[in-house]
Amino acid sequence: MLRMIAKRMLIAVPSLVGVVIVTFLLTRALPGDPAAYFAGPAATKEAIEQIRVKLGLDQPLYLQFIRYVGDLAGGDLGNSLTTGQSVAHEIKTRLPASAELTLLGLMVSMAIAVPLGIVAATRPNSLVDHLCRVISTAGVSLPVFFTGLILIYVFYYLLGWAPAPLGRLDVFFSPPPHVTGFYLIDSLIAGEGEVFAASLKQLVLPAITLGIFALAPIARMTRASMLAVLASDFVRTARASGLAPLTVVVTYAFRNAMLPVVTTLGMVFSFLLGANVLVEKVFAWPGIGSFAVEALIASDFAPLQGFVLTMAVMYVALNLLIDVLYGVIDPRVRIEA
Amino acid sequence: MSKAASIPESSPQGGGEHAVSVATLRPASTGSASAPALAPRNIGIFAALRHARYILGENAVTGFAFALFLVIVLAALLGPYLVPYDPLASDTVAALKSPSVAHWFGTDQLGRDVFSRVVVATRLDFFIAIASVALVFLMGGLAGVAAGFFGGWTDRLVGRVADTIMAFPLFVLAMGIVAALGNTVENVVLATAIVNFPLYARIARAEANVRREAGFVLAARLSGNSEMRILLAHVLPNIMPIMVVQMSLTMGYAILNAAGLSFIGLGVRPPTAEWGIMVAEGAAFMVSGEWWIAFFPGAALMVAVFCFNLLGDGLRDIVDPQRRT
Amino acid sequence: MSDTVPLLEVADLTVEFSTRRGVVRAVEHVDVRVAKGETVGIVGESGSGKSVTSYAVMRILDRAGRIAQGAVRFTGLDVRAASEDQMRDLRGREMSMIFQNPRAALNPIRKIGRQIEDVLEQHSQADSSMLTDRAIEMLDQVRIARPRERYHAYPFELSGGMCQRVVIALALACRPQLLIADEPTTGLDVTTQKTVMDLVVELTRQRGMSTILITHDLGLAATYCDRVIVMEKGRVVESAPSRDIFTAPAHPYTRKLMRATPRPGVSLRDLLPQDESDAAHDSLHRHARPRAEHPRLSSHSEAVDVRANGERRSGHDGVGGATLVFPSSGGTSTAPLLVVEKLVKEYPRKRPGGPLAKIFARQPAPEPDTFRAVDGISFAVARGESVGLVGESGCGKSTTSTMVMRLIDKSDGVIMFDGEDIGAIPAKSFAKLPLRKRIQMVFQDPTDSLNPRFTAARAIADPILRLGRRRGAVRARCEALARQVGLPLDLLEDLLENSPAWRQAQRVTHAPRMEFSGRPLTPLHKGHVGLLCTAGSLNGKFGRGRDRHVAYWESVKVIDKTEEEDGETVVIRERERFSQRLTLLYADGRIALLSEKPRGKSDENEAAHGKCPPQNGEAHVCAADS
Repeated sequence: MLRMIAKRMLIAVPSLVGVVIVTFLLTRALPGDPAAYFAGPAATKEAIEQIRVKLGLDQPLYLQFIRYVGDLAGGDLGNSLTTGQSVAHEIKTRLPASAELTLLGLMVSMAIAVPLGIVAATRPNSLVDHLCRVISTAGVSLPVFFTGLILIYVFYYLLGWAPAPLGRLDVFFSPPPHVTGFYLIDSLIAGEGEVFAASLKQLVLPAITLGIFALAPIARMTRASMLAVLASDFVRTARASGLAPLTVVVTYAFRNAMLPVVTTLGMVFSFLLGANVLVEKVFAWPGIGSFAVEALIASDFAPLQGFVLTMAVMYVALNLLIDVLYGVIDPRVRIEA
Repeated sequence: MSKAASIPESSPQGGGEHAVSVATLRPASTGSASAPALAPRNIGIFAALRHARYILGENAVTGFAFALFLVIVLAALLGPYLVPYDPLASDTVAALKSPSVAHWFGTDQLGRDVFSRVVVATRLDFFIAIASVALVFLMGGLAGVAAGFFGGWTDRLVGRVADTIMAFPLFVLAMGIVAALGNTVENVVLATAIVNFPLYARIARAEANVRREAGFVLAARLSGNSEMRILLAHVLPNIMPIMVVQMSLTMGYAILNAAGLSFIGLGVRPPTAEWGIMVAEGAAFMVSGEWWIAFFPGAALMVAVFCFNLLGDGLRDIVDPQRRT
Repeated sequence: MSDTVPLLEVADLTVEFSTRRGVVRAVEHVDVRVAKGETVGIVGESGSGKSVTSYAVMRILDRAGRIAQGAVRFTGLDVRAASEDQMRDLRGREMSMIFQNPRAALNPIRKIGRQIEDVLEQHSQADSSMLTDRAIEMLDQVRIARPRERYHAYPFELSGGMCQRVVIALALACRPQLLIADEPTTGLDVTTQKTVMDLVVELTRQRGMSTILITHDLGLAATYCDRVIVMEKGRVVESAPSRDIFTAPAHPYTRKLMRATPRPGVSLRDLLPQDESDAAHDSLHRHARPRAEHPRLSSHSEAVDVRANGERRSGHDGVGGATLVFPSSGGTSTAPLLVVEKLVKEYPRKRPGGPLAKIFARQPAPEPDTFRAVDGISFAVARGESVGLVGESGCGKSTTSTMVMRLIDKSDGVIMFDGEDIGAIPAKSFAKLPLRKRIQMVFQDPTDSLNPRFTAARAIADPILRLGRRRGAVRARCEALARQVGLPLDLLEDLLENSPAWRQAQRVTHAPRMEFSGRPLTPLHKGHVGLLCTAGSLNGKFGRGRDRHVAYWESVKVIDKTEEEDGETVVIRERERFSQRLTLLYADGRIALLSEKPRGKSDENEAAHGKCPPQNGEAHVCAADS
């Protein structure tokens, strides 16, 4: 088992290398003068030259790359023009906000999609089945930012149920003492029930938006996978042996059906991390997505590079986790002959 | 029952005639024939069209999607000539008017007619989608087919490139590419194509790989075909249907991608009419109740993507019913 | 056959399926009776409804299926009227089923021991503390070695034969009264087939169980069943004790099946669909050949001699050499068309751990770095002769034929075709040579050999087009070939993948001078045998199936193989009536060599009955599964 995990980690290394190279190239591939980009639109000629020397942009490319990697190893992602702060620091501070949102969104979607898919598969052509199919087809067509806006309009403007989409917490509350950075967890730890409720209220709409977005592929995959497994030979054997329906569906069908769903999660995460950016813009959520968007608008390139790098590294790590999880579930992968 | 018939036949080796008995067996299975009449008819494009029409007729949803697709194409082609108002003309007096007879979709904060802008934007979004899909088909499809068919270094190289792209969350990578290369529509197209490259390459590669050792390829080799001819004449036509399905599905994604990028300010700049940027502009007003500015372009987006997805599903059913989900 | 109430009684059963094309009756007015302790065989082609009948008995029909008419009574209980709860009770406990393809029949991510426990637990067959012990006991009863260890195994860790035993264990765990075996041996290697069937028979007899054996193989049914029911297209056409079925088949369809079942003294050409006017007996007797004609088969020891002649190697994977213990095959005195001498094919062996492991390995590797798929095989094929290459899966026969076809390069040895050394020509260049069209192959899976997006006409025409002919001539040639091969002309224009008779596809592969048959058909039934011979009428080639009864060759070469992991050394002798002409000896995997004279070209009955003489100057080699 450990060997499998180690093997998977080794496989992740080339991906990381690729990521680093690509992010490096992205900023060096800028049309025109990279130094000018890094110095900002308002820089004078001297300032540009200063930046050029400072960032080592006058050096040959491979030396720049070595320096880049060195910086990365030391946790240095450059500085933001607009805030003057180190990018690494900003990202570290803002990451929990994005993570909390994304994780909650994923949980919401799985809580709905998986049971929906299972029931749709076990009751073909029923209402649930049709609902599932409609959701799967329509869900992938919904632009995530559009969904968010509609939800705001309906639940905030029309119905007044949701709070104003102004960030993680209403102005009247102050954040709980920092432990994980996740307001929900931290407020529980600190015993601040009101803060918990307030954070949750702010989280609801954006999390549902993300959840709706991830719902479609997961429901579709669960349904398809369950259908395939329910038609398989070993389920037929289980039925022919007289096993109870619940045993057949759960122990025999579901566990096997979840394997492809777990694999799909990797793709779902790719979409989620991208959708995160859009949702953060709509709901003014102070995560790394909005950090990147602000940097974009200001033509501030160091944060952008740091953002892309961070997201990619997180994604590689997530995929690794999924691979390991898959290996845990499926003995065929775990037991290497 | 079998019947025997004697047919005088000249043997292929030119060895004169000899009688060969031919036993005709009854058809293998009753009640399974899918094709109607077996009369010889024109092959190729006509048969394909006829078959397609048969399937479309059978499946109302696909027919509907196809009709919708035609509407979109028409809007893209003829829209700018038919809209009531100039999409760029602002009229501050008439700003922020809700939908009415005069302005079907209302007006935005600069008094521009939303309906006209939505229709005109069809062209731009459609163009972006088509261009990205065509580009990725060329890049990814060819690379994938070569990788799958020839294997070896080609395969490894294409695989590496695809893996590197896949290591990124795709939208994030697209952001990075557009930001790095410059904030233009062309770069949005390029970014979308790059981001979809692994998918196409992988599909094309898998299909080519499967067929590489397939019986008919072996048989083609036996008949004396060269590798190139096998690739082009035998393998490629086999792959086309699946690629076409994928292209249709990707068109929807390409539009969403482009709209998402313009929503955060990449690619398209004001005052261009494009669905994503219109939603972005209207977002602020959603909160204060002027819903129509963001709603209609968003709905148009949804409808277009939905149409492409349905079309893709329908095409897949025509082409390869076993892959239905 | 006792007169008491039968264990299972199926009366006037009709099963319907609602499909997109309307309601289809898979089974019509079927009667089946199984007494206690009796073994009944249901025999039929695929599509005859034999499996559907048993699914109806267990009520595990598809959603789209239903029992439209008739009654099913099991120990007096009305199955049709029973509730689902009652049925679930019955299933596994009173009646159980084993299926084809055993590995797929087991939950891939659950330990096999646990799967047996699930069944035991469901039917409350033991205390929870005893479940594991009972499961291990069952594994032991089905002859799985080291049952305590194997309890923790997953299906993918077991061989096909072992998986089938686990399935049998599942089926018998609760000691049911009735076992339904649906094609339990199809898909298994021949050695395993016999062991599995023997196991089933032993266990069921021990427990006094009744069995229904569903199969397409009449021979199998005859060997293991007391009574046989023959089904055709959803109806029962004959039902009689197995001896009667085989000595005096009453129904014409049964007779057809009989004729299509290979047995000693009958050549493949006899297995063609006959005109009904033929008396079945006539053809049997006319073509039966007394064993005296074939001295090599006269005794078991003969085969032993053969074995002793050849080289012997002890247990490693790889292929032992077969020397040319060779019969004067055949009438032609001209030089053989094909000569293969000491042909070798080696593949580099993949070492676990990658290239670095080799460097850091502490001991030298126990096995050589290359894997010999074919190790020094030699044989010759004369003009007009048919030769069969027989062996279990993995023995190297397909590799051999692929090398002779010049699709892959050999590692060593000589391949001479019509006096030319074609072995020396690299495979890549061979395609362009005119020699190419003189050596052709018929593949195992007809649907795989043909590009599904081509029309039949295009598929036939492709090689001709390649060799450069005018359009009109091409068309005429296509039609000529199609006619020769029995393909209805109006199918020519259909896209192959849409063609309703995909099986007709076999006929599309056309025939030039020399043919290899690589397993063209799995034995679905006599219809296929007929199909084979129709193509055979063109060039006298024929193929073989996994069914060891089907192989019928004029001369056979030996290919060595290591045996299966769980296979004991099995010696299969010629069985009374239904074993095939070849004596197969599986001691250490070697198969005996035998041959017979090829048939003369002018057989007075050929024209009338559609036999398949080899044409002038042609020869064929067929690679077969035992």
